[in-house]
Amino acid sequence: MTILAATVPAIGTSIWATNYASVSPYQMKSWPKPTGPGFGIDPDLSAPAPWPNILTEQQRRTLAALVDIIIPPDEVSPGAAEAGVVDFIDEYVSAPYESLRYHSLSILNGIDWINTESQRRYGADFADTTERRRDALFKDIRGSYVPEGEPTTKRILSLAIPKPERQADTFLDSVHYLTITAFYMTEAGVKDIDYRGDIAQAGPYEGPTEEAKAHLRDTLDKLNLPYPDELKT
Amino acid sequence: MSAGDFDAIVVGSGAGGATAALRLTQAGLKVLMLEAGRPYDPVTETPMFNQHIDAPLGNIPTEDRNPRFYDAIIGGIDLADEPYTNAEGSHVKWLRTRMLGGRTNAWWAYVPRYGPYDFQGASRDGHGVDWPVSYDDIAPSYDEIERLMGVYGTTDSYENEPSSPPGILQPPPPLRAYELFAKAGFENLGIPVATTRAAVLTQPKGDRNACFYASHCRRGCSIGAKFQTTTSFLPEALKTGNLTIQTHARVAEVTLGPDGRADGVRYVDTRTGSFGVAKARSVVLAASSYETARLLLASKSDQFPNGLANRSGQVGRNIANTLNFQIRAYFPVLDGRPQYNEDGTSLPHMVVPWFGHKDQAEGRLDFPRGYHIQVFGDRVGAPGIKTGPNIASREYGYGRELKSSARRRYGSYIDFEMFGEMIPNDDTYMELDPVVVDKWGLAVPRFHWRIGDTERHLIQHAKHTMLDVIERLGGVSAPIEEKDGELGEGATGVHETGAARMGFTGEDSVVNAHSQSWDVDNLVLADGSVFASHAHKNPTLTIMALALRAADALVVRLKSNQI
Ligand SMILES: Cc1cc2nc3c(=O)[nH]c(=O)nc-3n(C[C@H](O)[C@H](O)[C@H](O)COP(=O)(O)OP(=O)(O)OC[C@H]3O[C@@H](n4cnc5c(N)ncnc54)[C@H](O)[C@@H]3O)c2cc1C
Repeated sequence: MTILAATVPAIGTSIWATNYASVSPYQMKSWPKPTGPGFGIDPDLSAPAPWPNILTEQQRRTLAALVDIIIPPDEVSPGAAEAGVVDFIDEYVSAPYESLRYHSLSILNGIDWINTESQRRYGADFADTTERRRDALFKDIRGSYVPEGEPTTKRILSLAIPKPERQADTFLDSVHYLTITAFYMTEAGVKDIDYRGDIAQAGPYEGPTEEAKAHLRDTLDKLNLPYPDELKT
Repeated sequence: MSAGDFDAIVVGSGAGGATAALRLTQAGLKVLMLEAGRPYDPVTETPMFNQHIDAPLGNIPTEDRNPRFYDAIIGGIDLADEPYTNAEGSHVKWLRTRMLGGRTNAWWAYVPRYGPYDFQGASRDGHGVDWPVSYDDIAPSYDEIERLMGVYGTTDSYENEPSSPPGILQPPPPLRAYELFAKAGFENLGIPVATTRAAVLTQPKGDRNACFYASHCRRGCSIGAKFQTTTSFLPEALKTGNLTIQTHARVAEVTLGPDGRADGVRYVDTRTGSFGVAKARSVVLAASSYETARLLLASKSDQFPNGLANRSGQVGRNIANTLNFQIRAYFPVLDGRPQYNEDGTSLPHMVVPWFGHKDQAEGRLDFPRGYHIQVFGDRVGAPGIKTGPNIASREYGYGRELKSSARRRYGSYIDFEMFGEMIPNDDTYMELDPVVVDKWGLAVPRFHWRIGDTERHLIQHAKHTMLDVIERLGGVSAPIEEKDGELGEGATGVHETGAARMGFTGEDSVVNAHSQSWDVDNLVLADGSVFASHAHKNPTLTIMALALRAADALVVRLKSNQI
């Protein structure tokens, strides 16, 4: 998050800053904690999330257009929206957990803001305007942001709650994070990335294939490293 | 329950309690086990094949389910009914489960043995205290507990890393490709790599099946491959007909008879809030280290105004946990490597044992104890947050480029995680909070936590070792966030030990070499509370080996009517 704040270019930040302030914070509905079998510290593990989703149809359309910019369809797999990411984020922003509230609010605000901004600029909802215009708007907030180095340990470990003054960055950062996380959990995403595990098998675990070992020998050669015993033939 | 019905009350059904109960019941003694949590059956309750996305919020951590929705943890750090407190500046995170089987339902089952040096720290380097048992004393108990649990591994030993004699271990799974890669890096730096020892079956054992190399141990194991007391020791002890298990029974205190011996416990039924008493000839506490100490401190009487079995004043002191942090690294040379099923068992199949004994002996290191390193590859387990590779945390781009980058780099990430030894110190202890009580009016612990230079130096050394190997392998590491120069200082670990240490005399320790209280001779402790020091090695095998020894000694005394 720190990296993001420091490197979002001025143009993105200033557009955001002027417009963001004018959007009234989304009024989170307050609701009693769900009492369904899928809630609490000892839930029924087969029960789905027992809270109602709160995104409106329009918000879902805006979000669908947005997540497809982050993960568009390509020749290998469908885009994020088709894979089910909008449902995931809807469930996330609707969840009755304090720890998620900050990100949820910022996402809710952001969705409304990006649609309002699209209407202001192009006279059309974000979901209805052209792809090129959507991209332009997205790029303005995202900027030409390119991460330097690798994400920090903190971001690896959790969606840490950032400082309120970073709210502008938080919206896209949160949507970006959740979109990618959710996509690669869906069937489409798991297939896209070619994860081959989680299949019950009889007999001993076989370990790397000959192909994988051959590749490893090449790799170690490149690094000028001797083989461990297991790779000696 | 009337007095004299039971030879022993065992408090807690986790690693320590189940071991003690198995031993006592198989010796023909009648045992009442009191467990604060609810009944739990891994066969019907384990979500082995649910996908992350099937869980609410995709299995990410929430206030209710932490670390994971699907983890076999009923409990957590913040339990509404059972608060605890931290003194100013301390931030202990105490993970507790309230379910039959305790934390063995969710544990990862890595079971290193403590080595000879680990029992003799003070003699070797002047820090802390020695244990009243040596490795040779406890080795037969290690052999036996491994036979009972089912453990895979090899018989290869390293300095202070003894393995088992032939004939005990099951065959280990082969190393994965990313592990062989990391191994080449470590070996090139002169650091040996060992095969993991884990309480996971690779061959069937009794009613328990061999691992089928899918799902994750943290969810629990409905086929009994990963050792869990709920699929092994508890059903085996029940088979003797000598075990009675009462769940929802949270023990409030140990009660004292007129002869100064423990005569039973007072407990609360957590469903109704009503209190009851249970009586027995002896009491075995295995409620997890900190909770066992809480129970002793809360059991006050005229004879023991500072808490039961606490004439030494050592109850609640000498607590420690494992120093722990990880560094994630990206290895461009692994991009696009051939795919295959890399799941194996959930644990890494290799481990880097502590390798600095020679440097320490020759005075080249500024810390006296050790650490070990485990390596986790990003293709082990389905993608998700923390539950597998967290792709979102490393792909900052978007669009088609993001997708191809994620594909190319899937398999190029390795997490290096270090586990280090913390030496107990005077500023790290627990006591009863003077004000806060739990839902049933019981006093709760207040923690004080601090680490010293020996730990800080060790942590820095581990960091540099990991960075060196990452560099040698052509990797790029994630920046490490160090708060106030401190990294992984143990306060949040799941390896609590030491709140009622064993020793040579009742002056400065709570129990003797057989985990029997110096002050109350029919009171035995069977969890990590008895540890006199905290090696970097995961503690549970040692907890269980000691529980076995303690139970055997208790059997003799009960049978010969010494109690
Ligand atoms: C995610 C995870 C992974 C782990 N991985 C490993 C590993 O790979 N290797 C390793 O060595 N260790 C590991 N551990 C640690 C291991 O689980 C513990 O060391 C071990 O379970 C301790 O056994 P215990 O009997 O002391 O406590 P527990 O297993 O926690 O059992 C204590 C029981 O006592 C009950 N209890 C508590 N208070 C009361 C009371 N007042 N009255 C009645 N009952 C009570 C609890 O409900 C619980 O069931 C891991 C832990 C976790 C959480």
